[in-house]
Amino acid sequence: MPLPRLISCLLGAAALATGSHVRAQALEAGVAQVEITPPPGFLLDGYPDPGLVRTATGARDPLYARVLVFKAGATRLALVDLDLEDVFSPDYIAKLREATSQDVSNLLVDAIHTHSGPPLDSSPSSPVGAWYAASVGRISSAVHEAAARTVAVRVGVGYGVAFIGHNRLRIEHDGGISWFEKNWTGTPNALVDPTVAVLRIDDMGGSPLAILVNYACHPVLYGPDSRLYSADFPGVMTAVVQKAMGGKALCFFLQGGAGNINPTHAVSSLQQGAVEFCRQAGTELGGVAARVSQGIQTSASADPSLQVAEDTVTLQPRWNAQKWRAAHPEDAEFIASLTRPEYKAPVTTVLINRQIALVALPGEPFVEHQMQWRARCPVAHAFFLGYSNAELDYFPTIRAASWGGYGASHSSTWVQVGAGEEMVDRGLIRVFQMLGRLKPTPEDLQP
Amino acid sequence: MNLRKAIGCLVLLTAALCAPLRAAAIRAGVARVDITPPAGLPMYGYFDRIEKHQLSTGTLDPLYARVVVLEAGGRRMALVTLDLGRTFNESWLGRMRAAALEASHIDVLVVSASHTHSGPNILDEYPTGGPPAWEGAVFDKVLQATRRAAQDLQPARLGTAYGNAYVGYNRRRVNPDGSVTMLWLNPEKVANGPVDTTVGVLRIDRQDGSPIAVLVNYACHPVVFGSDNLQYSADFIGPMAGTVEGAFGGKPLCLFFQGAAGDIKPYYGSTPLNKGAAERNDWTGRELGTEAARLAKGIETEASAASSLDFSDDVMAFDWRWDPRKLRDGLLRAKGPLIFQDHVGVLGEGSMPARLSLRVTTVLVNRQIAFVTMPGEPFVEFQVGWRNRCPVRSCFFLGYTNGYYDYFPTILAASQGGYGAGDSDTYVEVGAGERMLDRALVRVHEMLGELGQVPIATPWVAPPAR
Repeated sequence: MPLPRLISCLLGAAALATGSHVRAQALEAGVAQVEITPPPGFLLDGYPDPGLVRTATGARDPLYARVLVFKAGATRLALVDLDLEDVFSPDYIAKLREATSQDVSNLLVDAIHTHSGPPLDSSPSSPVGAWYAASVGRISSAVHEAAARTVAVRVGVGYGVAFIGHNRLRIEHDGGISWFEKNWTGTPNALVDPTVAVLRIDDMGGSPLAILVNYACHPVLYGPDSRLYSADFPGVMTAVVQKAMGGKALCFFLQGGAGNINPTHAVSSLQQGAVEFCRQAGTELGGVAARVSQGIQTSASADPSLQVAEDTVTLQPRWNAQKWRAAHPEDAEFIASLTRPEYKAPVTTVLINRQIALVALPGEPFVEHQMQWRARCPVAHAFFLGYSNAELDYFPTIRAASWGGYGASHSSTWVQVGAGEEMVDRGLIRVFQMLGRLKPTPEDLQP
Repeated sequence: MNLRKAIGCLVLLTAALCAPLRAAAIRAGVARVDITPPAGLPMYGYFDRIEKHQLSTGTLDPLYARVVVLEAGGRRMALVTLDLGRTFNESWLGRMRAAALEASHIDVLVVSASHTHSGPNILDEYPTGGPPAWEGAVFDKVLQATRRAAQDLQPARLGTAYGNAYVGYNRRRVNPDGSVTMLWLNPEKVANGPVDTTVGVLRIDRQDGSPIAVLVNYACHPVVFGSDNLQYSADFIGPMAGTVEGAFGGKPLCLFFQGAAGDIKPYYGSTPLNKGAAERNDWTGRELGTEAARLAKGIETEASAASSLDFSDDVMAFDWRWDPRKLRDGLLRAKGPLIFQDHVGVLGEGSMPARLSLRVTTVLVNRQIAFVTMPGEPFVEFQVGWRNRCPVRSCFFLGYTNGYYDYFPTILAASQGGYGAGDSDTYVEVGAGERMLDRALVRVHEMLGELGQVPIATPWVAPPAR
């Protein structure tokens, strides 16, 4: 472990252990953006493509990596927001950590989950692997750039609601679950979290530096017939917000617990009007986010702080691999690729100024986890990030797992039932620790 | 974990994961045995009695072990409830599981304590060496009672009902500033929540409709008698059971299963003897017993056409909440070695376990009635959460069962602090209660066949959007 990160981790651990937080002169932030649009020719990810025909012919809109570096005292966090379907594989995350270790103490990588991005297969020997490696290099430079240009900032949070999504697991009258991919008529379907949470970061003069938009919805407006890279509706959304803020702020999309949430016009064909549907969804969400952003009064904390906890939760496999192989011998290779003795799930918890909490889960958490997090988190503002730091597919709730359906009882969920609940609990415990409300010594034995 | 235990766990887990075995009718048998110890023993629950080396002087009312054995589909479960402060140590429980299996073919054993604070003290390890002779006698009595109940098995019908009783309050008062004040006395009955007023009743009848047993599940510390009492008593459980049994002409056996009473105290808790403790104990028991009897009488029991008994015994590993060495040293400094005769007995003698192994037993009867057990003092929010989230219509929550590891506060309560939430009376990692509850919920869903071991489809027939 590089020395700066080691020191920072020790400081962080000490802060958690004592229940106190590291006070800083100021909260600082810096941003950077780098384009990572791949070259044409890669297979697009996100939809079944057994014939391997979904080759990208170009880009509908550029894919970016956006970087926000937060600094307070010795803690320096880089939030890397990728216009990809999922975050990089563990090897590339590790390389990014190593490459940025002189600039930041903690790294949080999230993906917006667009289904019009490059494939996840990133073996170093493949052309895709070379692109991944080059992207990691560009992103580490962006982290360096953002870290170098940090300025003292003020922050503020606002909320709105947008109704661009629906729950794609529909509970039928007989208790069964049906796949509710498209909802063109906007039929109400529980559960959806329409909350648009916005974190605005201004410099001390009040000029916006970054707008972080947190919302839960699959970016799947474009269907499998699209052959162009795209950030889907988040690409439109970020452009709308950035324009509304006078081009001064960089807008991030922090995908939430979107595991069971589709946009109403999901998986539209180009002929059906996917381009327009994507524009509409992104514009609607962006409009709400921009309005909320413009109304936020940022402030500088009298006691600025930044606390970060990076946990690894060990999870058991959900399926009995032996029985699975016996039931589907034709899938033996796929099953072998998924099943492990255990899974390591990274959970990152961040607390800014003791008022704004972020929890970042890997994979695709169901929206109920996001709602639970917001309901139970003890600070005023609670952001929930899925698709962060590792790709572990779906995390249904216990109840949803029992109901079944895609992502709930399907091979697209691999880890033990209850994993999402456990990770949310871990995040909550960390926030309580950061607030000093879980002391390391029993209260009747305090010195 | 040694090999024998590992094999045992695997066997139990396999049993739980198998498809439910069904039989034509469930069978039930009951037994009761007096386990009142001799006078002269240290008493449970109040540290000042231990500090003063005060010993019991006699008996106010007898302490019982009550047993219900249920059998369905070739599986047997014994529910044992003890008029004691806590269950016996892991060695006692392990030996009882093995002996009950051998003697009476009991596949799953649930040993629960009422948590009366007027019983004899029970320790994980005794400073003088082995356990007192009385514990060995109770072992034999419980085993024999279980055997009698198993021998008395007869076709049965089951039914459940819920009502409300208002005899307890939450003893942790969370102040507007977030701090916690312990509301140790509350004879004015000032409302303070959260409280679960739910009285859960399971009635077991013979085929002719005559009652065999009434199981009452409620969350409230049996601490009406305070530390000035030196006589054994089941506390309000005694008059509660008497009220229920009396309402049926003394025919059924009434069993009390303590719920998640970690933060719930009776309004008349810790009443001094000279201030009417006996009368207030009777009032508390009668209030609860009257409601339980009313519910029991209204239950129309049913003979299930396809009875079943499914169970899971999970042993879950948890970290210590506090550094165990610092905890032991701090307790010794602050309170002396006697503290380990009050709580944290696991630290008192012998080797210090690196992690804590807690048993969570989940039982599903007739695919309709679920039980979860936790080995200690869960806060009442867990019981409420269990009932809200459990997918079957009848859900019973048993604290103080199959082991004893002191308090399990919720994450929120742990952050607020107070007795059992932020002090040395709780030492299992924060979040343990939530994980145990989630595990039990998963088990019930598994038993219902709602969580298979193989996914429903391979990715190639998946919906198109990942």
